[in-house]
Amino acid sequence: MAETVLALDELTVRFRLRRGDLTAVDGVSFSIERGQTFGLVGESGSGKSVTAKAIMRLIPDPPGEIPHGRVLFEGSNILDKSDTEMRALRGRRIGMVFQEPMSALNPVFTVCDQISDALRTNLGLSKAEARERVIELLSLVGIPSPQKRLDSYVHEFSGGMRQRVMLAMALSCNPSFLIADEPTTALDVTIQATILELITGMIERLGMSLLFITHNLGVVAHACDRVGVMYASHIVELGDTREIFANPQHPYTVGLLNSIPRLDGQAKYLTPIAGSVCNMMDPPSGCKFHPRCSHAMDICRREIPRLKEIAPGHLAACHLHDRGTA
Amino acid sequence: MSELKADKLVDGTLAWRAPPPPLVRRIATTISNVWYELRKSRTASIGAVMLVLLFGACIGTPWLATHDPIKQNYRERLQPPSEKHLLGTDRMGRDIYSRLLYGGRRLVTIAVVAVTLSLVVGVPFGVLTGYFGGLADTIGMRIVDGLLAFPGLLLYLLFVTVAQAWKFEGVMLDVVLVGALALAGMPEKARLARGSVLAEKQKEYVEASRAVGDSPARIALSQILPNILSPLIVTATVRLGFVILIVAALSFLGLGTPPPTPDWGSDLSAARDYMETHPLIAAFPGLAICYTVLAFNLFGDGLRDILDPRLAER
Repeated sequence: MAETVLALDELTVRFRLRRGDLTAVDGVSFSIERGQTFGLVGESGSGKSVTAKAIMRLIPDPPGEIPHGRVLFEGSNILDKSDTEMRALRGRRIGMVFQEPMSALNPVFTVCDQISDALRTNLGLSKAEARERVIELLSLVGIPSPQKRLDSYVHEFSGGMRQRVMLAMALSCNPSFLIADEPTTALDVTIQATILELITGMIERLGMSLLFITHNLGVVAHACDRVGVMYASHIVELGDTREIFANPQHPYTVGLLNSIPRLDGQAKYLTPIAGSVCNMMDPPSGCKFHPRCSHAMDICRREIPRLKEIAPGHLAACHLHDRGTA
Repeated sequence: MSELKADKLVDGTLAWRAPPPPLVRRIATTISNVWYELRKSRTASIGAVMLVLLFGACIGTPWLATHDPIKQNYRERLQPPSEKHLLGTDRMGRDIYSRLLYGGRRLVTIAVVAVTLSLVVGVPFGVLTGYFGGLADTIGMRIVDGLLAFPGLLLYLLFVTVAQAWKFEGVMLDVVLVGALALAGMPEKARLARGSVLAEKQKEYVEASRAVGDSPARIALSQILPNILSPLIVTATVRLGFVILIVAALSFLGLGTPPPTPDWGSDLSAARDYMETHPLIAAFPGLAICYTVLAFNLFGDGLRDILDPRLAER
């Protein structure tokens, strides 16, 4: 059994807003083993990014709070750590790549200053050492002639290059775990593939684990070992990527897969999921997906389905499977 | 460019690296870059030229002055401009040109120190309260509100009157004045900094620097602060002109350094008695005040046009 790097245990994140409480992440549990890539998929607003921020403890408080649940990183609960301990963890042990390479880099600093800042505060390198390391990192993430680009400002880089810089920054202090929050969403399609290759290649080469957040199923199929599908703050299906793509068990996952264009001509038309994401301020009772689900039954309106193991390592939260097993 | 030499091969491309330019050339480049930016606004370039002349005169005073500014000469009192006395002499026979130079030097120094001090205190105060928010913000901003509620002029009058009552003289009096001006300028800087920080801290790069493990104070002062400098620079520049006007007004009212010291405000005040017979004596200090305030205001307004991208394309 491989070593577990990160384990979420019933993580719940709630925002106390003026209009009422909003539960953005509700009882989410999954674990990531060393060297593994875990994909978290879901529509906008399903709670993927909030989960990532909760792991980094970047949820602003107030209004956010974590009423219960644990985030176990290398065996210890991140949520119990002090701010100082947490700061030591960020960057050095857990790196993060953000969605918007345009805004996640500080516009007034050169690339070198920006990356070496973390190196110098976290690892205590001298200015010259940090500079050498930045050159190394930039060539690692595939920026051509890093010596020349070192003293450029962020606005002098293209989107894809900025995302490389982001990645270099996240990797700068050798973290053992990387969170990539939709790293390819803001890029154009050809660059997406390159960056994706780069990230997965990097993970393999450096023996890191990765939490990959995306709404792009194609990216998941390509990059991830295991997948969690999120819908309206819950994980509705969890399992190995192959298994989930071959044998989806939750109606939402089925719907998602049916709404991807296919090249093999299996379906002539795309089948979109009817309706739209529920209002999280006033979520439906029972299964959050039931208003859009074609299999909805009475019990779906009353009870929230729990995640149940359907096949070894494959879990789904749907009442349809109660009937099957009962 | 003949000194270019080939660096090592990096990723198959030949990287060229120029040797580091000598200091003189670096300064020249900086100046030409600054001038290039300034030329985008005519207001700013006029202001800049006026300021360069002003600061040049302040720095060069000991060499530019032709007479001792305090030495009286009753045989040459109330003289019109001549070769010996470029701008004539006042009622005590002192050389007006030299007095203007020395007075300006002191006035500009007071204003620059006061505004710098208010920036040094006010900006970090505003940045930190804005970044941390919550209770720190509430308490900090109430202090600032309290200071803002005090009319500036009243504050200066209070400080200077008390200082005079305590028999403060010369430099000590100037120090008190600088303190009062800095205190009165602080709330404005703090508020401005706080407002900009509130907008800036929502940006993703702030979260990104938290994600690499920077401490809150470090994020506030070394990541956010450089991003909000432009409105602060503009306010500080405009404020300089205002402060000069205030100091001149105070000494015009007799609340500055007492008479023998050259001072535009008190010289102007003393010249009032001779307005009908020798109007030039009053005109020169008045013009000097006008010129200086105008220089700072033009430069400040021009800077605003250059630094604010929303106004840039007009």
